[in-house]
Amino acid sequence: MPGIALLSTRALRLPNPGLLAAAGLAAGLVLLPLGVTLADAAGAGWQMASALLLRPLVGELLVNTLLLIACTAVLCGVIGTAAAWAVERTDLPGKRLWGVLAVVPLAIPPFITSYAWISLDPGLENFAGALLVVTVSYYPLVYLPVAAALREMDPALEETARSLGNSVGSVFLRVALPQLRPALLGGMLLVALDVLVEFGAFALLRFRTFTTAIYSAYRAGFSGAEPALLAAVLLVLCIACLAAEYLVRGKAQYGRLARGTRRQAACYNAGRWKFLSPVGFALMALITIGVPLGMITYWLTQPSYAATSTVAYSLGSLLAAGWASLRLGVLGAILTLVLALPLGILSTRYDGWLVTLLERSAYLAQSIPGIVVALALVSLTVHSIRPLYQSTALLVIAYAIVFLPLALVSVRSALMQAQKRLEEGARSLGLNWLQVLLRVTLPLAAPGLGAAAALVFIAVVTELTATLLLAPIGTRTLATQIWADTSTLAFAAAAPYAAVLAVVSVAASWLLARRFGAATVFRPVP
Amino acid sequence: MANLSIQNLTKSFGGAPLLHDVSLTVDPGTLIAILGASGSGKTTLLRLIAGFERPDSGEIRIGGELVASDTICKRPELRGVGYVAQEGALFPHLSVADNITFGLKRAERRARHRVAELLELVGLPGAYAKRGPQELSGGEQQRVALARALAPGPKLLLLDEPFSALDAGLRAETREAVAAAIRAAGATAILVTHDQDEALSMGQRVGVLQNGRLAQISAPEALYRQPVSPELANFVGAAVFFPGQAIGPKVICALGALSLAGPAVHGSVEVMVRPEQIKVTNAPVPGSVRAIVNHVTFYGHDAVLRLAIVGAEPGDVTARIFSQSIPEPGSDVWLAVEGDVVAYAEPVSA
Repeated sequence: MPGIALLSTRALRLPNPGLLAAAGLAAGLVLLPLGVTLADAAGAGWQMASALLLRPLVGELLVNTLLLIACTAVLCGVIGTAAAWAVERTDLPGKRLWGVLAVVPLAIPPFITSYAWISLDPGLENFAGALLVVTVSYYPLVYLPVAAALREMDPALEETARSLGNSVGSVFLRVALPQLRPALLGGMLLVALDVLVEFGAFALLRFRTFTTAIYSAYRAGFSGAEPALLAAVLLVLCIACLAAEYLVRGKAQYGRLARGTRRQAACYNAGRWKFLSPVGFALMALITIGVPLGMITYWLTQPSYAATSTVAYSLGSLLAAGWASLRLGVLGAILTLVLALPLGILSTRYDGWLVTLLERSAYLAQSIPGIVVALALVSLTVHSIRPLYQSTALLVIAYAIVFLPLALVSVRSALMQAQKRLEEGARSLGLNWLQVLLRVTLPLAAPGLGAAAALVFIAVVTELTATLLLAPIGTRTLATQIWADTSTLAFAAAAPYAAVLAVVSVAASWLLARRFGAATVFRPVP
Repeated sequence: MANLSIQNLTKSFGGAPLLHDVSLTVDPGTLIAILGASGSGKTTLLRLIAGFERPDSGEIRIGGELVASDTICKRPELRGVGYVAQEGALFPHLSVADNITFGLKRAERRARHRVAELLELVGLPGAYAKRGPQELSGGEQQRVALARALAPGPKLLLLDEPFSALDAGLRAETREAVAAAIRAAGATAILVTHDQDEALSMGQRVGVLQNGRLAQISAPEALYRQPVSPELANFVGAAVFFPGQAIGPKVICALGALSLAGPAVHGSVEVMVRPEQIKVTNAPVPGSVRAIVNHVTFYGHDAVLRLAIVGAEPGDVTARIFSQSIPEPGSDVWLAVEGDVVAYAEPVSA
């Protein structure tokens, strides 16, 4: 009898070949841009590659990018941790409000923030401007994990430290901070990765990083080799970030030494900070949320000639752009979900090296910047599949590649809701696999799958880079309109598009966060 | 080491009283156990002494110094009170040695001041100093937590259910090691627990908290043999109750004429007998009563019999006997009571 039991368990662990093929297709599609970029870069040959890479320009890009990454990560680390400590551990007034406001910037696309600041002060076209924009856009990426880690921490540790003679400040440094390290470092590395990948915000600020340099090389019509080589360097940096993040998260989880009833976390007297820190939070909210939304509102009320250049907008073009964004968002969400589902089913229901390999390769896509994906798809279609070039289908495929990791996280957690033992229970009650799928798995996973689709939709609507490179001629989305108008300093003309985009993004994120929790919506971590 | 004195301590949370008018003193160098069910307020008492919470009213003095009242609340780091949390709460990012020296000054931390001595005190090998907390068993973690709390030489040591997360075998062993270490250090300590055996075996005095009030505080034997109320008798151990008539130093009940402990009561009383006081024999002895064995539960080291006394009002009597000679269910036996019993005046029926 034990032999039979063993056999049947084994049999269950073998994935269906169709499922395996579908997942393999998704993973292959995701890895495609990586392959094309490396092939294009290798095609340049050693001599040309070294000539192109060992230029002062590349050095300048490296310095610009790395310096910006380092400064942003440190600033975000300090601001995010301070905000999280204040909200989770002190009795400052209105902390629930400040906690929400600390997350909202993630719902405002960085290029909108960039648009707002540059239309406020054109003098921000420099390093300081770039640092300001990415810091205010990305500090929640540190705030969220650090606040979660503070909530998870065993309150007895801090109490014990105090009974051993440590003041609150000393408890933070000697007990809390060492345990926040994984969350803090992980958050800072995510910030670094996002800064590496960011294109729109820097392009509008005319700040040169790898992404903007790749774009200009592509626009200048250079051979495929130069943008591909730059993209390869960027890829190396991104993969290094992702790998470091993976290591930090995997290794350093101290976790709780013991499990047991958990008391409420400590709440320290904010003392003289009690009235100072709300001022700080209010100032942060003003800078991170007030300026973007305020500037959009300001430009909405200005006649279009008030801006430096006069590009009038019409209601018709606003509606057309809105429709284009909506359509692409829905198509992108559908394709991404269809590709993510087999991978999700595979990784939640089966194990083995093949499953792990497929899943990991999908997550690797997290480190492939949108501009690299777009560039690779352009290169591939121009040379080999001409009819696809500048088609809606290609753009939607690009979205699916860029946002597959995002969708996969939510799809996985949705499928976890329908636990395997529930499905097995249903099978033992006489249901076949299709009935199980329809009556057990889908009803349980449906809300999570809906959330995944909504997340991808928001991401597609606020996506700029791939849209800019791949949109069919004549297709203008909200994002590309803001880009076009801001590039020509037509701030008032861009305002209506920015307003619609900001409202859609903030409202949709808000609804999702209310339903599923802020952390799962704003930065799903695999 | 100094003593602790608490006067009329009251604390409520959101209108619900957690502690009501609790007063107690702890003499230097003694260990007092506070026994209470969950929700009785015992953890709140510790947290008030440690300074993690403020009392609503009442006073706490440590070594004669007022540390908490309705106006004063000294910060926990300035109280010199060692605290051992329920599951040890070792700092997961520090080694055993760094955990132990955590509360010391920087120079002493560098010098690994007293690490070997403290490890020996709590009965752990010196080689453990370099280990991480994750490499220790639950009992070892608790011992390290005790060493850490003792290292700065606290005026008072608080132990918050330190053994509740351990399994039975480990619990007894860790209890003994901890009790020995506290004795050797000459520390004044308060242990809170919900475990009767633990409170009675470890405390030089034992207090019982019921619904935020200190119901009784006395030596463990007195608490067990002469609890002040029937509820307390039931809480501290198993108890059998009979209606009876008290006359002078004796009480007459279904088990015969028994001698009373404590102050004499008169008239209708409720008599409390511990099951192990009831001796079961196969043949009548002077003063014994006949009973029939209804049910036997075997526990290995002993067995519990449920019996019905012949000629008495229906109702079970419980007796705990050694497991060597267990009577068959249905057989006739004779019961006699050893030692004094306690009688409570019958509650006035409304």
